[in-house]
Amino acid sequence: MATVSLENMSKSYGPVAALQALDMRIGDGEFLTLLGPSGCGKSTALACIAGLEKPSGGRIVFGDRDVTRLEPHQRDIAMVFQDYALYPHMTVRENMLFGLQQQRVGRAESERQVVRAAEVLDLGRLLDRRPAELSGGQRQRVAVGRAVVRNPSVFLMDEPLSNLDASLRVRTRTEIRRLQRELGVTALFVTHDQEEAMVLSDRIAVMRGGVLQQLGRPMDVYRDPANLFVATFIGSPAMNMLEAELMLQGDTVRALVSGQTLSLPRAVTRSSWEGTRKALLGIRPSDFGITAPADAALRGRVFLVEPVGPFAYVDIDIDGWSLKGTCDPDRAPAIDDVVGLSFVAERVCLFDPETELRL
Amino acid sequence: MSSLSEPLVRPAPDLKRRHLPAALVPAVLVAPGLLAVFLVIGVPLAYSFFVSLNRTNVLTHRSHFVGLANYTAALTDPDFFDAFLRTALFAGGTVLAGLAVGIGMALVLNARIPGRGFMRGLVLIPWAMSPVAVGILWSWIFNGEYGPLDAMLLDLGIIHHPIYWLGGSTSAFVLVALVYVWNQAPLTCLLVLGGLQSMPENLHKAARVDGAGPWRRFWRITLPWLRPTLLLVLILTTINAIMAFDLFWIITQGGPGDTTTVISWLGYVQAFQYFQFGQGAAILYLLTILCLMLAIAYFLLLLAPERRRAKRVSAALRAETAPLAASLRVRTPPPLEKAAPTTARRMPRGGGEAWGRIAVRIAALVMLLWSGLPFLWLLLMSLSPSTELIRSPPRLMPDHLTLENYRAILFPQVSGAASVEARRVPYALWNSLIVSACVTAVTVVLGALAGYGFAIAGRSRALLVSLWALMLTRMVPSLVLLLPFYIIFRTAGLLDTRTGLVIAYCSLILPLSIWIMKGYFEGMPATLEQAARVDGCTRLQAIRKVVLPVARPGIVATAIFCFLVSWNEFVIALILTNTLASQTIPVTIAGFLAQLQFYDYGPMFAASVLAVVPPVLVTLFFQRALVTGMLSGSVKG
Repeated sequence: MATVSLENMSKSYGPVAALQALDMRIGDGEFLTLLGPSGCGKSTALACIAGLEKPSGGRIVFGDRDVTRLEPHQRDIAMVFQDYALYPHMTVRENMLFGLQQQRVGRAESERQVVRAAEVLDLGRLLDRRPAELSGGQRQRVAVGRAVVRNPSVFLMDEPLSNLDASLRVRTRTEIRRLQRELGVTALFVTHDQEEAMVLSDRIAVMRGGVLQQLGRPMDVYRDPANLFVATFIGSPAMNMLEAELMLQGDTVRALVSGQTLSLPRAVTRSSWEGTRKALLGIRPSDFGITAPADAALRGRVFLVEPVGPFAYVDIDIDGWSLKGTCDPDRAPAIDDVVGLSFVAERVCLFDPETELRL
Repeated sequence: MSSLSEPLVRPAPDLKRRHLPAALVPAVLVAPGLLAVFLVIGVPLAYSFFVSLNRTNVLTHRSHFVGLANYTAALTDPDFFDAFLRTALFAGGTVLAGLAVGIGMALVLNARIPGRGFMRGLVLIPWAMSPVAVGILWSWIFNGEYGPLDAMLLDLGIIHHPIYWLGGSTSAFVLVALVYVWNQAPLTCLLVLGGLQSMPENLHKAARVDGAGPWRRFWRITLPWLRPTLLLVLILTTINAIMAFDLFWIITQGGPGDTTTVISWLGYVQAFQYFQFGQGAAILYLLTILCLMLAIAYFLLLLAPERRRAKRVSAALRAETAPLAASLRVRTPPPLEKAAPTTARRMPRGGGEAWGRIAVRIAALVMLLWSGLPFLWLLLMSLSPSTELIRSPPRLMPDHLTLENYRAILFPQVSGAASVEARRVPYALWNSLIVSACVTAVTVVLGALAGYGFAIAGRSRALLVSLWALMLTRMVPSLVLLLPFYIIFRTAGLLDTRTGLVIAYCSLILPLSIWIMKGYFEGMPATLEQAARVDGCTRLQAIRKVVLPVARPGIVATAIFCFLVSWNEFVIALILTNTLASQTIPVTIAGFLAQLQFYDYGPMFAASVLAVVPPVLVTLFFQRALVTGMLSGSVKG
């Protein structure tokens, strides 16, 4: 088992910088997710850690071993690819044996490990099939099995769930997390799906344009986003954003939103300023409730109701700004109703519209 | 918020338009192509078989039925047996060597090397050159009196007397084989490159993570991936090698003695030099059967096990449909025992990568010389005065360069010295151009229609059968068809006409064109055409407005292929044409050899250059289309 340290790791393709001075340390046995939209550099980072790409600068250290210049197979890693990259001409068994054979593990020992991994992943019946003869979910399990059987010290996964259908994805991610726990293996996971990242990870590293935006535990990143990008990228549906004028008044922050004044606790911001300033005010849909218009600070007109099951999303128009709130599906307002909005004031996030940083 | 309050125009569906019944569409599309194939291949093939059952009296031109006598005569003839052995040796040797060279070149071209696009075009040059020009070039290079190879060796002091390379029986055979590999290896390279490019990149990455070095990755991952491609390559190159004829005609004429007499040469001599049509047809028919058997053998060896396996497994898959309730009951899997740490691993050192890169660059340089140097040599010779070409002892570099050779063949009226043969060149170029353009147009149109028809036909039994029949026509040597063409055209007055040549060439090219286009269309998403039909196109409109424009790269590749084959074709034109009215450029160049005067060497090389310039330019210009367009589709077949 090993810790993974990235020290100022950067990677550029010609003039294009895909990664800029990435600095982070992943603990032994930790599950860390690299999260971001496509092109944010998360896959490049993973390829560098795997040794499939050579970083342009910086170091990669596993435990106390500098692996920056080592070939992938010298790093004691295993990897699951997005398209699984199962060898099409080999059976499941041969696919799982291949890596062990390359590492000169004895035949009998290899077979035993394959059978054991196959049992855990419920692949027993499939051992003599070829990848083309498996369903998508089975292929995915074989890819995981091929990695597990290697007994690596670092486990790398590049969007391994994105080719599965929704229900299978939820089931498989549970399975992956359980396996990783039981093996106690350090895991790096790449995804663009924020829910996946939230559910799986010990910590999440949010990336954008090759730059690390925020690194933290899932709920910390969710509740306490460092900037506008993290706030809107994490959480689905995305956080509502309203233009506001802010004023400090003793223990409260007064926010003027489209002619209506809200008071927020002073704790929503660590900054202070004189007079008024412009800001973006963010509230998550789940923190936004529907009330009678009379006793609410914010009012708007309903233009869509989207029942999800346990709750319903309500889309509200406030002076041309579209907001999403939630309500009980059995008490949903009708379209074109004017409703009041209540929100959890402590959970409001304020952002500087220029720097996009948290205020 | 945008709103849809302005109503959008709703187009009214046109209910009056009549539609072809869906089941008939593939058949209608395939029909013209299949009919043409039947006429230009089926009929001549049957006629050829009929001829092979007869014996013709050369003097009286009367023929009488002799049953299988021609076959028994051929099979009991020791000459035939010797020719058979030589053919087998030639095919075996060139296929293996071509495979090694072709795969090697493809691997280098698939690697990251500087100037890769240029290299890809360059490597294809030997293949784009017509075999006649190739033969002329190499037989001159190996020429014992004046050849540049001897010149180089003499200049370097390695040898002191000229060597007659093509005079020795073994050396002549080996050299023809070598030239053949030089000419044909790029085709293998092209097909393999197509296979390599379709390979998912992650496969290699996964194998690297698994610890497989480059050598092991090649054997364990790359080669198995290429298996279907290699099957196609093996069948194509073996049949091509068995049918090889042009090079023998140009370089050795079956000699010295009969040491390079292969079956195709034997059949040609019987049929067209001794005019014993029946015996010749029998020999060529035996050649066809040989090709067929080999193709079947390859198929059984390489593909059948896969098919059997697939059938078994798909049956097993059908058998298991787990009840939904059972699949919903998720059981907690047993805890994973910690696997024993994998010990005893051998860690190969990193560092090898740099050496690998150097090796690839060196290989690329060798390829550059191998593919480009002979062509440059041809250019150089075409710019040398004839008198300097035949100096003894030979010298590598001419003292001065001249455009006189080109003047002699392009403006024969102006330059008085031009020989009869040189005067033919401008006409021949024109004929070649017309014939190639017509053949390309016909085969691409018919090929695209039929290819699309086959691609959408699915599992229609009748169409599957006709598809296999089409594939089998690839196994028919053109020499077999040539005989009936000659006889039929003589009666129909089509001998020595460009029309006749176009018809004959269709037999050569049309099946291939259909096959390539089918592969390409199969690679296209079926939803494209469906979307067009939902949008209100009839099937034919969908093809015209959506499918064909999207398929343009594949059509371009097919067109290039058709053009190259018909421009370079030699033996059909040799038999079916003989005057300025229809003679093509390869035949004209070969004509130089037949009546060679020393002052004609220069013009001959100049004509060769003109003959190879159009295909070489087309190949260089369209190399990307050739690699991606044609092969991504055809390889799957």
